[in-house]
Amino acid sequence: MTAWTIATNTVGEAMRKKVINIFLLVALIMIILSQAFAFFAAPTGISTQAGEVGGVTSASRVEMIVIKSMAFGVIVLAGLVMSIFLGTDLIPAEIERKTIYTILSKPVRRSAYITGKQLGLAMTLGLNFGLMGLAFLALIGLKTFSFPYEIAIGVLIIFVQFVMLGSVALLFSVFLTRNINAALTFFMFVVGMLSDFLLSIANQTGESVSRYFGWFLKAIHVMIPNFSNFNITNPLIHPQAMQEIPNFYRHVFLELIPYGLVYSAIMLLLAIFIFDRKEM
Amino acid sequence: MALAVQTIGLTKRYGVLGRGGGRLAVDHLDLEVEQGVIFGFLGPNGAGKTTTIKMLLGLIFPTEGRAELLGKPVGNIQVRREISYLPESPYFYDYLSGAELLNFYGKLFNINAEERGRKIRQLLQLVGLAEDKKPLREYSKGMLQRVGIAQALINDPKLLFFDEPTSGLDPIAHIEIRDVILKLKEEGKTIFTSSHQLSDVELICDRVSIIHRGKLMKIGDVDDLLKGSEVQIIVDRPLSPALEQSLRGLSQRVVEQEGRILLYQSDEELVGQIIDAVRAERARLISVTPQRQSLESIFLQTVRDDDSGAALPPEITFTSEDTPLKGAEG
Ligand SMILES: Nc1ncnc2c1ncn2[C@@H]1O[C@H](COP(=O)(O)OP(=O)(O)OP(=O)(O)O)[C@@H](O)[C@H]1O
Ligand SMILES: [Mg+2]
Repeated sequence: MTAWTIATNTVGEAMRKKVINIFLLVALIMIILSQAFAFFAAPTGISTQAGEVGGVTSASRVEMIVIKSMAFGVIVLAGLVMSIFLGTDLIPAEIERKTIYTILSKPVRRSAYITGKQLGLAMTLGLNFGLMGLAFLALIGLKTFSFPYEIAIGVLIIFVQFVMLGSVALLFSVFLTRNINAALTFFMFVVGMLSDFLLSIANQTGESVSRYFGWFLKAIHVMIPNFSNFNITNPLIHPQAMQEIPNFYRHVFLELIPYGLVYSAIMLLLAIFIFDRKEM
Repeated sequence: MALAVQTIGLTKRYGVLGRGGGRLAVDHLDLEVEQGVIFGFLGPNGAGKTTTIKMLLGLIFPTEGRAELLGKPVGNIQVRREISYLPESPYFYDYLSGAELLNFYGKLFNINAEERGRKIRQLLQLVGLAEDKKPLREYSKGMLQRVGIAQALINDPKLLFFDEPTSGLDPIAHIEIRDVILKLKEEGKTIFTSSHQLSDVELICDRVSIIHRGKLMKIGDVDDLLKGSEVQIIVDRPLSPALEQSLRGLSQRVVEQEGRILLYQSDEELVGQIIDAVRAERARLISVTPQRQSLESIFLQTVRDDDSGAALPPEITFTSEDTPLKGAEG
């Protein structure tokens, strides 16, 4: 209950941060403008994309691909900035301004406080992703006169990905300064994208890669959020690539999203563990 | 009835490994504060007042020793329902109005909506902000401090911690805050307040302690502390040279004034002898006044004694405040 109060208060505060407002606004404009980009890109797009579907690519199809790639790209970038900014800022801001003193001296457990902050971060991202997703859906919906489920799912998956990244930043924010935290979280994002690649190197241990290095890579693969699987915009943009993932929905709802939630929950538990011992 | 605050060997050493250089901020502090008392927690800058208060609220953890509030260990979540805290120069969510902020804090206590609304109106009334609907970022420092006090009262606490509640306020805001505290005193709340405004403390507090470099130097009831033992006796001139000589001999210290002489003595018996001598010669006795020390002088004395390891000569130590003794007119 107190966690919920903290969470809603956090959303109210976060939605007033300039960085968040600006990135949301720019993202919305870019999503809408992707239409114009596609218009210019389409003619040349045919030749570059033609190979993949054996020359049957139509201009409108290429236009769709350009719009979707651009909009997903914008959403990923906005999500990256927002999650890192919120994750690194929410708790340090409250400590610096001492608002945390009046909160923690009330019957608010530190665990409830951190849980509220993380929930608030996720809800703020949810709100922003909701708005960006809505713009995206509207754009595609108006062009195709149908409800683009795959777009909704894509936005949902990116949202979960950044809830994970935000929870990593939030954990770090309990003991690291903002800048170091932002750099480290960004590093986690990049390495997270390469997670499966690290695993494949680790599995090739033998003459070329030492056994210990292999273990090290495996450990990293487990600890760092595995974003390789979250990079599913490709199949969503190129429908024929979707066929390559068997049971796509099953994969998303029974594997990706639960993984994201469990990972975030673990970050939360670690953050609570450290925050419980933190001096204000 | 349980003590409101009790600390037992409470100690805080900052940054044993890190930046604090192992600095002792609070050094084996033993305090007992009874319920219903307004307790002044005094000390120069850096004495360890804020550090102590933060330990009592569970914001930082003691290096050694322990503390209890209302008979329960610090950090107990139930105890936090009955206490509250106004930090040093507080800052609140500045996009909220006073009422919205209080609403947020009220929710943290799980106070139901109806009761919350009633409380908020009542508290804003108490601190004189009932009319204000604007966001806190447009508030003056005095208004913020009043919101801070309202915030501290949302749960109708038994025990309140104020860290320099009147610092940085103009004289009017200052007096208003002081009056709010006096009102709380009437309601029988226990208030633990640090302050550098010694005249306020003298007026408001029942009991004070002075800490210096983390150590408790002095603790006692304000009335006892201020009750100096020295008595001032004023005698009108002219005096016979013989009487003047014997009066000077009986006094610890003599101050000449135009047309009269001021004698100081702290020994009760010698005070009696001075008065008898004056009466015997039928000289005119103007007044006999016990010298009430000011809290300021006690504070300076305590802190300077600790700094230098020796008492300073009385001439430069204090300016005394006179409180005439009734019926002492000769
Ligand atoms: N977080 C911290 N890390 C290291 N040292 C600290 C920290 N906070 C306070 N100190 C040191 O501890 C000592 C006591 O500080 P504290 O803030 O408790 O003093 P204070 O009595 O409240 O002073 P003031 O009247 O100036 O508010 C000071 O020497 C201060 O420098
Ligand atoms: Mg202080």
